Amino acid sequence: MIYLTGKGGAGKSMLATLLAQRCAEQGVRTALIETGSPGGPRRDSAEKAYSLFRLDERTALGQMVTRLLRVRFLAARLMDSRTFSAVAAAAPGVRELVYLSYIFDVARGHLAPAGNRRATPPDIVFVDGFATGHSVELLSSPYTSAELIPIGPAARIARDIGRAARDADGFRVVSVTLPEELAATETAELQGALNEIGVRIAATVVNRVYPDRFDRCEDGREAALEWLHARHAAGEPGSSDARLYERRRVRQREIVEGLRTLATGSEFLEVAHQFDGNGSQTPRETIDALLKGCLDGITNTENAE
Amino acid sequence: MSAILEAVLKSSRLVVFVGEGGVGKTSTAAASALAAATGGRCVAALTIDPAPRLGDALGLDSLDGTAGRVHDTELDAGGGELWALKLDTQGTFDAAVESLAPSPEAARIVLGSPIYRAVSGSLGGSDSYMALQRIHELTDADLYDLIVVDTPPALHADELLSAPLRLDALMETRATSVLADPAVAVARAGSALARTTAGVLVGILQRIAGKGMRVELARFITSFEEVIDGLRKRARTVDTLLRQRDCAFVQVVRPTATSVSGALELRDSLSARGIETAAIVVNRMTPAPGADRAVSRSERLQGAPGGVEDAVESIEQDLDALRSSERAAVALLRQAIGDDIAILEIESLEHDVAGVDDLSVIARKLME
Repeated sequence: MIYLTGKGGAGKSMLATLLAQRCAEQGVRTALIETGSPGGPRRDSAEKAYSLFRLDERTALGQMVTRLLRVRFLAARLMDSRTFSAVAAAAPGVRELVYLSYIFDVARGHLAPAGNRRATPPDIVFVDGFATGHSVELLSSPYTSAELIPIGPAARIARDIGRAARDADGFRVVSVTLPEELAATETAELQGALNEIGVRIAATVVNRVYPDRFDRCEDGREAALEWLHARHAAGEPGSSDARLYERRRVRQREIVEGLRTLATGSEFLEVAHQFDGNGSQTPRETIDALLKGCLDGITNTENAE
Repeated sequence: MSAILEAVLKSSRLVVFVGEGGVGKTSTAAASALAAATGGRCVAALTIDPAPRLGDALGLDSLDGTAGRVHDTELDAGGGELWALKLDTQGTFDAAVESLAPSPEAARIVLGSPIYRAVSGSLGGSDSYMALQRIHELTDADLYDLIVVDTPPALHADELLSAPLRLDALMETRATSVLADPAVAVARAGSALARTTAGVLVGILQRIAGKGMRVELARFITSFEEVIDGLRKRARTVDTLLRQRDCAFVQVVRPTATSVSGALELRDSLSARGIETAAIVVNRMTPAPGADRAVSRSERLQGAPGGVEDAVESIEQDLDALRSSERAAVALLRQAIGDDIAILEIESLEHDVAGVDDLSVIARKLME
């Protein structure tokens, strides 16, 4: 299971879709779970090579209650009670635990995708996850609830899920971020919060990075930039855009290198900015590299240790 | 056009900046607060999570929720004052519990409960309750002419506005009393059938959650119920303030299609709650191409090292593509908004806000 999280607007939904698509094309049984994070693109329900799940509170809660009670009739009665919904909504960690349990049920093939009756266990599940803060709540919910509900069937589920989420081979968190100060700070906080509950980030993906355009200049980039600066200093027309681009790129490099240091020991990938604003045009090679990064991340980590 | 923003900052008592994280909301709010203070008003800028350098610029590094005065020659000459404050969610929550709990003993129980730690940390939109709390404290103290509020990065403005409603719902469902004392709740249910149903439900709840949670919840809820009620009343007061004429909402967006569609949704949901957006600031526009672009590339770059012309060509194409996608996003926004709301396009600063001077630059751009 690959759980993508990151700052809102960093492009996680786009990447999750492209990854699921690419994975399915290679003949792997793929599932994609949308969490309905705000701002994400609405996907059409046309034929997909992968099976699509949509996480909504009622379905997920119903699924969990049915599993707990093993009696559909009683579960339905309970679900109809306003009191129960209010408790579920207000009790800390319960909603998150329910979501997390739904995600693992999809992974274990307990659930059929929308518009399909049969449930088949997928080989790989991509989760277009919540934004950073909410993801931390989600992934720490087994602990929050273990503290509140130490015994009983719900506690067993919480323990079970908590164990699965810490199994680095089965559950991989991919952090999608941007080369911007605020996003980088958030990524560092995410890593800190996940470390506390024993969940590691398998891969960090920095989206929308300005590529180096001077890397193929004959005398190297330094000489090229020096020439442009001299031109500017002399008041001659050179390229104001190149200076603007480089200013932005240099600032981005600082942030990207900071993120790379943070991600030491796990997979680290950069995705080039699509300047026309159309992320779905991300080149296939980039997606393949990402897919490989997501899947190999853990093995590399073990080697590094 | 930005006369509207200027007027808003002159006449309002409360200006709330809303928008997704990373759009430059904090610096836009701080620059607006500076502009109003330079104009002679006494302004409080409530920031939530400023980037380190902006925090330093506002003198926030050493601050823990208390107000710090910002000084600047131009600002001080105008006779106005700018005070910066940082929202400390946990501190505000703890203080609210202490002031609202029925007794010091009850406050101690609440503050020590694992449920409180979970709730007050990040669950259940505590950021929005606390932002409302802080606004309540600030307006209640009546020390400032204008309060400028920057909303938390991860917070949807909707969450802020629905906070009082969610607290109401929690109180009304009596969910808390069922957990606190199931026997009483069951007995209170009207008919025999309802009593049986309630009894079965409570039994099921206990079976799922175990007795431990119920006991812990009961202890917590008895003490917390009055706190929630107090929070709810304060949230209601602020809710009224937010709908008054002297409160204005300013949306901040980025010039991308996703950001614009998010902003339109937000405009609609604000409007559905009876709040009309006063202005939309489109931040971080890529500056227009320089005068050098009038000269052909080969002429401009004559004598440059090999490969430079190709590099510059792709850069200029990239930035032009970026500019046109930004223009398309703004056009989409203008088309959807019409002439109803002022739209301000602000060029990006091209470096992080490092001091009050940078805020002045942004303020001037906003007032242009």
